[in-house]
Amino acid sequence: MNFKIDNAYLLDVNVLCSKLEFEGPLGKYFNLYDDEKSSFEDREINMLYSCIDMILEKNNLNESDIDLAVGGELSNQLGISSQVFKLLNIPLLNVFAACSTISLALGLTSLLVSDRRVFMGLCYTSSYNQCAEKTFRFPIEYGVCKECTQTFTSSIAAVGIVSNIKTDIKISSFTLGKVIDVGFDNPLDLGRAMVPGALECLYEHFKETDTEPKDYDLILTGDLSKYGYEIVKNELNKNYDNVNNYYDCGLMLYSNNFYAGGSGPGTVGSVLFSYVVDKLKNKKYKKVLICATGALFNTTMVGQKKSIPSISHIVVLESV
Amino acid sequence: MVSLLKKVYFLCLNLVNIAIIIMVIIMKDRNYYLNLLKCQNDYYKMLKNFLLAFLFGGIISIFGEFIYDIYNKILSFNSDESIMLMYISIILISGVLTAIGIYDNLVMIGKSAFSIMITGFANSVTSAGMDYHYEGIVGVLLNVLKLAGSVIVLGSFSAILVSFILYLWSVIV
Repeated sequence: MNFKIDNAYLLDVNVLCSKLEFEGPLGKYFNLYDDEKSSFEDREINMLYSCIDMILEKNNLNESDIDLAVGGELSNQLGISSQVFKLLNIPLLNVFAACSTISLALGLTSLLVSDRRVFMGLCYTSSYNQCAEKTFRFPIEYGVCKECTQTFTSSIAAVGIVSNIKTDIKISSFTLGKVIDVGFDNPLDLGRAMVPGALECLYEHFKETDTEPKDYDLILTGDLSKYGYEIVKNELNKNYDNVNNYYDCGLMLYSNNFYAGGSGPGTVGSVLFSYVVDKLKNKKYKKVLICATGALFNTTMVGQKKSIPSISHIVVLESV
Repeated sequence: MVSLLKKVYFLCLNLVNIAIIIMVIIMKDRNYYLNLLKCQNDYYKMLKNFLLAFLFGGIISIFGEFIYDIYNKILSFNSDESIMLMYISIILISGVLTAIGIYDNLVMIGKSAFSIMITGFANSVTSAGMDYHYEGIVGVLLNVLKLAGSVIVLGSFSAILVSFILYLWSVIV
């Protein structure tokens, strides 16, 4: 399902990260958040709240200027969003789409802004390494041999403001994806589990907008790990000729051979709201496609021997 | 009447055929993606992991013998008592190493040797409890046996079963 959007511009962005990402290859675009004193959920709440506070202060905005907040993260029943937004006075529309939340949030905000129902919207996402490990895998200090296909959840909070005010960057297209399930059931290999969702959404986007991969300056998928990245690259080269502008966000965030890549909703959010926005403002790229992928993984369903479905959403950014 | 029944019968057959064809098309798409996602086992790496686990399992056993010797020869306990004390000492050492945070780095070196021996049991109990210490003493106590619960239940049950069989054997024979 594809929407053409014509009046939504990205006003400002902000990304907060922890120590490991700050020392990575893209560290110069991020701001560092250092808080070693409370529980892991408290640290994530404080990081997301500081990120929203910083962006409002940078643009001399008040809480009452923002009409709507859209976004989500990985905690149980989205508890962390509730704890952050009880301190702010902004109406909330929180969504869950695992690691593809940021493109869903950005697309929904742009739809509502371009219809002139909302004047200024805020889209957010956040993730924290230890909280995700506790919820989805084993205890943090548990001694288990990690497979070579496991990815590392990043600790990042990413926030952006979308409005009608004309700036250099506009959001031009948004494709909603469907849930795809092919029977894959290995919960330690989520990079490969998200490949069918990414491929189906990419094919549908190219068919409905009548474009090809060479019409874009850069195509980025979310966190497919180095194994999933190879599979998607081979498939795209089979169906379209000579695709050489495609890369993966999880591989850009950390140096080589750090697990199998980065993961989590903060990975796509951080690369989108720092590296891509910077290149679009300096007119190095003109049209960028972001395909964020998520594995809808639930420990109860996997325990009952069901397979892991995946979903993916696409957002296209252009420089004006 | 018979011709009407025949028409209904052939209509049902056609519908079943169409359903089978659609299922085959969907399964073909699904199987295509499943074949893409298959991965090969890296046998060279598996062999290296097996040898490392074997080596480090032996090192832990030698360490256990060393502690047994300390209790038996230097502190002059009985043979049975010093075996018990050796087990308790190893559990204490693994618990302290988990609490400091070094244990999962050790596992990355020694692969599965550290998780199969009694040290692995102590590590699972300690790490599961550590996660919940912000929920108070009740949180820790509720979650300490989260990963080790199956070991305890199956151990008790098999002990009861085997002793029951032995009792029947001694009564019959």
